[in-house]
Amino acid sequence: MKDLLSPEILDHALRRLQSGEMLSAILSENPSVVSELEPLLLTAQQLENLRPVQMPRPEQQRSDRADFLAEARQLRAQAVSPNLLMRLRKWVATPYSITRFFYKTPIRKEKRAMVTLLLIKVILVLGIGFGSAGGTVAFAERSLPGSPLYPIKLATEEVAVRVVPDPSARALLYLAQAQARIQEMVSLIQLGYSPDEVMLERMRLRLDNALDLASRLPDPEMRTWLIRARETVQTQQETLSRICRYPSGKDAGSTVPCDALAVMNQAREQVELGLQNTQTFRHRCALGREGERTNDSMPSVTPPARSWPGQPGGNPEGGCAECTPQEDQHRYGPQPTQPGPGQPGGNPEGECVECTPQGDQHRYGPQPIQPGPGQPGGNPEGECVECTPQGDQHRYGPQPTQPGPGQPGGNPEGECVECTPQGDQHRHGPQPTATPTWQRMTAQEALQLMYQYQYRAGVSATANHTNGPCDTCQSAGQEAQMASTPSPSNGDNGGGGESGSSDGGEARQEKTGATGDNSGGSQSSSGGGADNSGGGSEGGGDSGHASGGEGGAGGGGKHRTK
Amino acid sequence: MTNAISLVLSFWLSLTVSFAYAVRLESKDCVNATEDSETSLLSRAHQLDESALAHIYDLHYPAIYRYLYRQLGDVDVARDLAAEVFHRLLAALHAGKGPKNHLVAWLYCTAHNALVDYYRRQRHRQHLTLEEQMIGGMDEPAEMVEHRMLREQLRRALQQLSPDQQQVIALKFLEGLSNEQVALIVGKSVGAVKSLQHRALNALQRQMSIPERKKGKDHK
Repeated sequence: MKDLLSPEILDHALRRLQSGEMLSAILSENPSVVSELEPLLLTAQQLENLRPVQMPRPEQQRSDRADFLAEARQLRAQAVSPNLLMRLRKWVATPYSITRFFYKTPIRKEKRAMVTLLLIKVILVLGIGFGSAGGTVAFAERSLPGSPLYPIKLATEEVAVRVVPDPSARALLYLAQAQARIQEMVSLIQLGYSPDEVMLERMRLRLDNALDLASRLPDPEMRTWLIRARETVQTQQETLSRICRYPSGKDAGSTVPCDALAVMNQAREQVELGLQNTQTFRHRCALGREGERTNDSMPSVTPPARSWPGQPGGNPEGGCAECTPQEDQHRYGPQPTQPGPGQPGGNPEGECVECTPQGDQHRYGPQPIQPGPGQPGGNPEGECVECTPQGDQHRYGPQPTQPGPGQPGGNPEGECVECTPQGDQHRHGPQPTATPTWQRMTAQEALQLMYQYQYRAGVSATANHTNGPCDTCQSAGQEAQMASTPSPSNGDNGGGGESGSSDGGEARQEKTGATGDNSGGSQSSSGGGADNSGGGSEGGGDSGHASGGEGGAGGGGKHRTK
Repeated sequence: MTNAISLVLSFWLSLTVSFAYAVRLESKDCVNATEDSETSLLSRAHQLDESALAHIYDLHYPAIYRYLYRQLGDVDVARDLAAEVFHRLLAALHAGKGPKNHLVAWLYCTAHNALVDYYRRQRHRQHLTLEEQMIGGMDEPAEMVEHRMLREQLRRALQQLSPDQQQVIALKFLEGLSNEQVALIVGKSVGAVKSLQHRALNALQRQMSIPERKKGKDHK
């Protein structure tokens, strides 16, 4: 059988032929494929005829070589590489860059800046970067607390605030961010989760910043801002009211929405205050900043600059814990609480004394809280004494506790004595309240109260507070005049006071719903020698900021406060 | 506001990407530059270094010229095509392409492409090259003519082969390269080169035998 000539056999035979072996010898070793191998080997032998080469003449060779090198020089003169990739590479690997250490051979420097092509590439990269970063930020805008993108959202907001140069716009941005926090609370509640205190704190801080920035704006701009802020705050109040009133979700008992509502209410009051009296608003916010600085300087861990309702250390009534230094013409914030009767340092007889400042044009903030009658530490007889300072134009804060009845120097009958300055022709409206009135008041009410104090500022009467009847007592007619003056927030101050005694009057304000106040109506003012029980029915009948009956004691005006 | 943040982030991202890309390119070049002397020579040639290019020319021009001449049989055409090969080398180097290694293979491959292009052009022109001058060692005119006719026959037969077959025959039998070198130039395996060589010789042998059969018919 005839074998087929394989490529391997042919290749082996060709190698032997090229090495100089005779053709017959090669064929004799492959007898089975001779017929196929022989013509192929002969053809290969014939190809040897093509091997001789006629080289060009030497001058032709030199000419060709010179042409080649000239062309190379011409290309080398074009220093800028035509390829973008190559240009970028060489641009990076210039002798002045760090990357030159990676090269052993010298790098041909681009002689012309690759501005155009590099810019195209940078624009492309920036476009891709814009897309990815912008997409991430856009997704983060819709994230909620707990989401991995939520920190990006917060960081974005922070950068946004820092970038905006206009204070008005920045304040609006803060307000919008506070609004966003509320919307996050709503979204979380709708999803069945409960918002936490951190969210409340974030909202509070943004509101603080917004109001603080607004207080530094010029008057017209601030007014415009406050009008816009009022609308926003009002909307958020409505939203939070619904959530607070009808809690839902897994954690329906969460107090955060209601606390947020309280914060928003407080912000609303500040906005209203700013719309009515810009100077007061500025002053108040400036004091808030001072308070923040004070808190910042203290090595305290507590981050909040202000205390808000519902927070530890906060005012349970929702008031602002801003204190005005004394000697100030405006009185803000809570006053130091006097020790209650029965407490160490307090009035053991249950008498507490509060002095109404005279000449104070703006009195804000809570007044000292005194325990009510029948309460632990309170006055068992429900009597308290408040004296008006004499001759002091600016007297703030609590007065020293008077010795109680039965104590040395005290009133043995346990009477409360209040000395109303004589010559007060215009004593209107409510008397200083024992409860922190400002906490329950709106901004309008606070302003009205302020105006009343302005009236009283002109009164120069003084009253030395003694255990006995005041020697500078207000006449019955004056008391009646005072009581007959309509008061926006207080109840009728008439009958009991008028019929109680002709010696003097006692303005008494009660806290709404306080049973002790009603029972206190039966107290008697022995100093005046007149039973003031009629006042009890008045106080009990007034469900608002009721003023109780009045009982004069020796002609001295007496404020009984709880 | 979102755009400002995006701008900052994007700028940072682009800087990072550009730097990483540049470092990657440089590290790649660094590896290539340390391979061998030919790579070092080529690296200098990429910078269009004149001495490197002159060295490459002196080293490889004769082989390329011979390769072309053996298939063309014309000095001027072989010179032109050899110049075309080295011109393509310069263009490739200037464009940042060109051979990173195996310069000889790249040059033979380019020469083959130039030859194919030349054949394509000549096919349209129906122009036959003038036979070369007398190569030394043949004094008898009859012998000279016989050899000349044989070379013409061989070249015509070669031109009838496929480009791959032409390349293998030229590299293996005219240039005397080994199977491994031919495989590197044509980009095939050694086994594929052997098969290609077998088919090429069969085809060439058939092309060579056609004139003989015609001659036999003419005699009859």
